[in-house]
Order: sequence, then C-alpha cells, then structure tokens
Amino acid sequence: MLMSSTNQNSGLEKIERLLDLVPYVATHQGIALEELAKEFSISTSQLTEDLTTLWMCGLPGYTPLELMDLSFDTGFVSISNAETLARPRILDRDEVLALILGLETLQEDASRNHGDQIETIAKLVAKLIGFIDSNVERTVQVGSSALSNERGILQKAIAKGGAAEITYHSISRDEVSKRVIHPIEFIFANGHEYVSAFCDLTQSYRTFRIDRIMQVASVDAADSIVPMSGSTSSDEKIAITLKVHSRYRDVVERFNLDGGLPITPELVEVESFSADWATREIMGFGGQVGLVSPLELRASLRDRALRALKGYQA
Amino acid sequence: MASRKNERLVNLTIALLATKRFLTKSEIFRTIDGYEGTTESKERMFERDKDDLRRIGISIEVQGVDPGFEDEPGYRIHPERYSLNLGELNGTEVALLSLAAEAWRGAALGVAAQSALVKLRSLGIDSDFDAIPNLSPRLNVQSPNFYPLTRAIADHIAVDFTYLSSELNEELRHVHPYGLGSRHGHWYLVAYDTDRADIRTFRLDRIVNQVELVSKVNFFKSDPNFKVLEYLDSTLFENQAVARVSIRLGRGHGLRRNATVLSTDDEYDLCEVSYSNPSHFTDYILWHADDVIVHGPEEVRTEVIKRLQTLVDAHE
Repeated sequence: MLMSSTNQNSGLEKIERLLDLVPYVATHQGIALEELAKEFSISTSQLTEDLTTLWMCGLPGYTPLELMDLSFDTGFVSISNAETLARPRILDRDEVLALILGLETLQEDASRNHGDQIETIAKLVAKLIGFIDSNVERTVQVGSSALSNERGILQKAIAKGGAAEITYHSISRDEVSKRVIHPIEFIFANGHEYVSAFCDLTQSYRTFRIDRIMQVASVDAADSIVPMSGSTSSDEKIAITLKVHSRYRDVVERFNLDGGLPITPELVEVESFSADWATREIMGFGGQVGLVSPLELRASLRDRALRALKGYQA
Repeated sequence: MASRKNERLVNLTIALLATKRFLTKSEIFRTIDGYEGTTESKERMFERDKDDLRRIGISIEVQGVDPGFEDEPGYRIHPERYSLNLGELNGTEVALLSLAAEAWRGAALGVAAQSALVKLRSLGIDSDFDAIPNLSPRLNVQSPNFYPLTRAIADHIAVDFTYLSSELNEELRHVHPYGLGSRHGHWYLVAYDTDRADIRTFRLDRIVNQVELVSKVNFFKSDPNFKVLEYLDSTLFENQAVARVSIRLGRGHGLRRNATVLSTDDEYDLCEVSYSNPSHFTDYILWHADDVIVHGPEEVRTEVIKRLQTLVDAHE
C-alpha cells in the first residue's frame, strides 16, 4: 500500500501536477500521451484535461504571444513559450527525505561493493540536507539490510530472462547449497524480501529469501531450460499443535500466523513445510513453547534435546 | 469551478515568477486572469490562493512597495526559491538519485519518491546507469505509519499507538518519537514512553493500526545530538560479549557469520562467537539443538543446559 505524500488528499495535487507537467514536457518534447500519463500516475483523459487547462495559461495579457503553446492533439505532447515555468520545482520535505534515505541505502551497498561511488553519494546527501531541517539526517536513518549487489544481478537476470547461480543458506535444513535459478520476480512478505524463481536443482518453482543468499553470480542460461508451465512446488505442509506458555508474539511472527490468534488460551495450531525447521524453532523457545502433536515430532524433539544434553555431559 | 481556480493559480504563479519587481494586489487583480467579483471577493480569493501556493511549498515574498508613500504590499516569487537547484549534476549523479528514488517503489515513501523522480527527470540530464553497475537497493518499509512518524519526529509531535506486547496483548502507548532506524531488515521507532518515563524501542511492524498524532508541533524537546542508529546499535545490536562454542562441521551457517574458528576436529569447529543479547543468544544456541555446544560464558552454558532439561521434561 502506498502512503500519501504531503498534498495527496488536500485537493492541491492537481495544481502541483500542472506546474510539474510544464518542465517535464519541456525536457521530453514529443512524448506520447500514454507515456506521460504513466509517468504522472494518471489516466490519459485526466492528462488531457490537465493539458487543456495549461493551454489557457501564460503571462498577463493572455494573447497568443503570452500564452504557453501546447500541442497534444496528435497523441504526442510538446510545449513552447513556457520559459517561466520551465525549471522543475524545488523538492519538498518528503521528497528530500525519500531521496536521502534512498541514497543512504545506496551508500551502504556501495561501501560493500563499489567503493568508487561513495564520495559522490555523500556529496549528493550533503546537497539535499541543505533543503530541509538537518535533524532528519540523524533521526531517520537506514541501516544495513538489503544486499543490493546480489539484488542487482538478480534484477538483470529477471529483465533479460536469464539465470543466476546462487549460494543459498537454507534455514529449514541449516544447509548451504549452490544452485542455478531463473528469477521471475521480487516479492515482499512478512517484512522480508524474496525472489521467486525456477530452481534447476529441485526442478520446481521456489522462493528464496534475499538475505539468505550468500553469493550470486550471473550464468549463461543458454544450456538450462525453463519449463514454461508448471506450478509452485507442492510439498505438503505439516500441521503442528503448540502449547504456548509465554512469548505469543514470537510464535505468531516466526510461524507467520497471519493475524490469527490462539485457538484456546494455550493451544495454537501452526503449519510448516519443514518438520526439522519447526522443531528447531520450538527448541529455540527453550521450553516456553511445547510441541503437542504430531506425536512423532514431539518424540523427535525430545530425542534431540536429550542428544544435545549429552554433549554437555561429555 | 475547479479548473478555473487551477488556471488562476498557474497564472498567478507565472506572473509572480516573471515579474522583476513586486506586484501590488491591485496590479494582480487588474492583470491576472481569473480575479472577478467585488473587491472583497477578489481579496478573499487572493488570500486563499496565496495559502494554497504556500502549502505546496512555493515561497511568496512580500514587501511594502514604498512604506513612506503607500502601504500596499507587493508580492513576487523568487525564481531561485521556486526551482530545483542541485548545482551541476552529471549523468552518474542523476542515475544515483534516480536509483535512490526507485528504491521506494511500492514502499512507504513511494509517492514522494515518484514525484521527486519526475522533478529530477525534468532537469533534462541523461542518466548514466552504466557508471553504477549492479546497484539495486530496496527500502522495504511497508508500514503506513512510517510517513506520519517521520513528520511527528521532525515536528516534535506526541504520538499514540497500539503496540503488540510479547504476550500478544494490545497495549496503548503514549510516546514522544525521537527517531526511526532500520537494522537487519526491520524498522524501529525509538521514543520516550511517557507512562514508563523512559526511552523505549518499538518495532514498526508490531504497531497495530494507524499511529495518532496527538499534540501540537514542538510539544517536547529532544536531544539535539541523538542519532538513531547509534542508539539502536548500542542498545540492541552491538556485539558486547564473546562465547566459545563447538559448531558441528557443515552446520550452523547463520551462527558462523559472527564466528572465528579457533581449531577443528573431525566433528566440530571450536569457535569464538560474538553476540549482543544473552537471552536471544541462548535461544539461538538452543535452535541448533545438538549441532552446537556452548562452553562459556558460564551463565549461558548453565541456562542452555537448564532449558534443554525443561524441553526434555516437557515432552515426556
């Protein structure tokens, strides 16, 4: 969901757009109506209405000499006699904030990958800070998270329909493996970013959490073939009943219970593709969460805990 | 009619930008298209128009034309304060700024980022994306509270929200927001909790529903040297302790990211691992079941053994 910017609901977005259309068209003479509408996230009929309004505007006097000269009846837009409004408007606070945070993210990545852009980015941030109250710089900050070099390679593979070799840490088995994938798209879910892809190794559609991809390299996709149809891998989910003594929130977050609250004050049903991963998660609660069923999983959890205890008696 | 009004606003902007000297109200009413009716209604129209232009960030200068002779003020818009001026920009810089804006696609500041992008593109400088290979950052903050919180922080406005407690209770919190920062994929709000009379950290995705801005601007003071990431690191993420652990060969890949291998036998790597929060670290050791054995610090070792015994007893 998109969050509204400053004037999105104040009725002033139209006047802002009118003022911003002029410099955009001035530097993109002959742009197609559809393309221009898309750039401003409006319909073409809305755009035509805007251009008709602008067509009536100009310097006092309002004779053809003073009015802006717009042409758009051919489906392509051009403008002249619009020098007064020809430079883009100053950035507002939200726009500056968005750019600064975006640049900070870039800087974080550049410092890991290409040291050469760091100074340029810092210079841009310094320029932008001049436009707003400087406390924003220290009160809203982006820390390390996205692995942009990895994303960049995947992004290119998506754009070109290519493939990439990833080194992936599978949490469910606590194993690292190399595999060739054909990335399809990026997805956000539960606060994490994933890439959905066809995986050559398992010959199925899988999703991979970006922050668990340890390395990426682009590969020549010519020799591996992606099946054009087929569905996401259809492993069976296991239903697990938990007894929650405390830390409900952690249970909800780790098992992705989508807003679903406990069935009874204590018993919660969760689902997982991996018995191994679920068992580990429950062990990680250290006794504050118990595994009620399936019974064989309960027994295997107890075995593991016993084996781990033996490690301390040695 | 709305389009008449927008037309008038555009014409007013053009006239005030183009003029070299300040224009008086009567000049404005005489020359700019769209001011109609009685003097009183023209005045009202003009007052509203000025407010509207100021609300979209256009700064209108006011000056007494000749205070000794006539007290009618004059108005104009200074072109330097109207238009975007980022100094000389080359194609690489424009490409970096574009990437910074694209990072918000579909996220909290997506709308502002898109309008910034339109303005940047209007500069007519071609982006040089070849200069910045493989960068594709993404700001994955989806929370609808991100944007109102940035406002509350900048303007020192008190905020109320409902927060999901560790036991999943919905608690009403009253705070003075100090900062927003991200670490390891999550966004955190650092704020002074007025009920608890202390600074607290809240994960943004645990705030239920919409935050409410409940005070006037400048309602509280905050430390002018407060740096949100520094605060988060020192309270939540800084690795403050080191444990000695045995990690089974080929296992514990997450744990190994913060580990140094001291020695290796045919079953385990003996490692030193740094960690920040002892109770989270204990959980994480337990998560690895029999793949990890912790040797010290003693408190962690004792706690892990105790918890394993609890797990065994609870699953008879």
